[in-house]
Amino acid sequence: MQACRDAIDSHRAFNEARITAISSSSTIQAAKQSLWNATVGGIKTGKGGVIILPPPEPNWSIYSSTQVSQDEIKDALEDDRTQATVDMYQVFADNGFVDENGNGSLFVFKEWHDSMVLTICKACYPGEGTCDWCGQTAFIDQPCLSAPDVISAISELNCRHTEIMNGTWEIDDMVYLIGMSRIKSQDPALTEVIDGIVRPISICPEGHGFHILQDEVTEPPIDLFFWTGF
Amino acid sequence: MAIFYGRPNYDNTISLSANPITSVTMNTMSNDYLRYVFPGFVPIKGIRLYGTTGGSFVIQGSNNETLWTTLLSFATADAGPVLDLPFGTTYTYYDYQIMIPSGGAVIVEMQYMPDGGTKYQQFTGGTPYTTGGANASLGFDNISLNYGVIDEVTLDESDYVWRNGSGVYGAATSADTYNFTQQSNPNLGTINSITINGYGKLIKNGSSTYDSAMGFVVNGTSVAYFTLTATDTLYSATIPPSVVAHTWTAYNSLIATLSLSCWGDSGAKNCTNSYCYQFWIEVDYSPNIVPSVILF
Repeated sequence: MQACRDAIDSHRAFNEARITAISSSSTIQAAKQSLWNATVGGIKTGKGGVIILPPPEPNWSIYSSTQVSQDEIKDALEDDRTQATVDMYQVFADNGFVDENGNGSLFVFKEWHDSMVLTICKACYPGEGTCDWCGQTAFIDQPCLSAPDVISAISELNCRHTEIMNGTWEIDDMVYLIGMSRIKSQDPALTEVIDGIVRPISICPEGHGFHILQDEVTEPPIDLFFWTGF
Repeated sequence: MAIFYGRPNYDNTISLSANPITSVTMNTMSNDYLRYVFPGFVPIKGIRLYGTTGGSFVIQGSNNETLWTTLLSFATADAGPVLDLPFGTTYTYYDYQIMIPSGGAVIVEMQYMPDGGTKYQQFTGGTPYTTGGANASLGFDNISLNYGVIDEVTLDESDYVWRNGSGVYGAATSADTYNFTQQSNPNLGTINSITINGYGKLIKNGSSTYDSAMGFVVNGTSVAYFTLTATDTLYSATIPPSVVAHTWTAYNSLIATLSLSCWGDSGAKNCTNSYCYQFWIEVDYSPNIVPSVILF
């Protein structure tokens, strides 16, 4: 799994370096050097990264030092980018994440990755409880948002328990996802730190609904929030 | 027949349309300030900044990039409403800084009104750099680099532009505007057709049952609007000659807006996000035949 994460990180760093090279270079030679000597976010985009390009000791002089347009520089770097993309997908394939055609697939990896993260989350932040529909009974005149020490589970509006239940009355994946989103937010209003571990505060009002078993919380062994934007 | 491919191009061109308002999603992974320096676009009548809750914002002006004057600032609690900043003094440089909570995503847009103008226009581009803090790193769908995540020749799904439904109540749409690879040979051939293309998909989170969409606007005219699916799909539309004439001059002036819609219930988990991974223009043309000279 780590190899796939590294491949994505490296590829994104590569792309950021590519944009910098395009915008800051006036010759193809300078752009190539800029791209392959770059370090983005601590990640070496060239031979030091997961994606290995170009040759170990590139001969930059083979590239033109004539001033050209940014379009031409962009074109000149596209083969590098394509190769980097192909290499990234190959990492997925090498690790068994392939689509129905046998090609390396980011989405197949992501699907597996998300499932794995949820499993780890359940193990590290075990929870218990059932929905007693307090949002429609005990708290019907007292929205969760205004209940003492409670932040609404879903939104800034009333508890939308019907939307988080997925049709069941038992604790479900969504509760864990809510907890993860709170941890990810690092918002002091939504999290607390006990024994050095960031935890989500109560999902539901005390005495109702779902709760993390705080005594059983353990530090997740991996970064649960690798994905951003998905 | 031959195809000329126009990819989204690095260009600090100002967005074509002032209304509807367009915006750009920024995504960072660090709790840090991001600063974008804009070389003077003066004179201007006013400046404004849009943002969603989750970040704090500062607009500054400077004539030397060293001494900065704060022109406008608003905190997280104030973010969201449009804030206008009419002022008479012009600066050589303007910047805005955005403080984004760790792991947060903020939608932000800077607009300006040209001197003598009547509408605000989106200002894109500028030079991004991070300032202060640890682990300062830009996401890849930010205001200056976003063309670079959708301009690939070989489809790359590791980066994209997207519209995040998290924190949105109901449906919402964002858009960004691009220029494309210039074609410098006016005698390349006769244009037969011009199409606009995008690879995209939607992802539904939680219990969301709502769809999202991708739209193409060319030179201010809506060309196509597609409901996305959960599978990465190519969406294409022909740009009629009435929108872009079949000349290379008209093609080089083409500006296309990519819009992505989303849906959310104002929380973080029940929402539909939309994504675009690749975006380009295809010009189908018949190459001019160069007469060959036969020497005896």
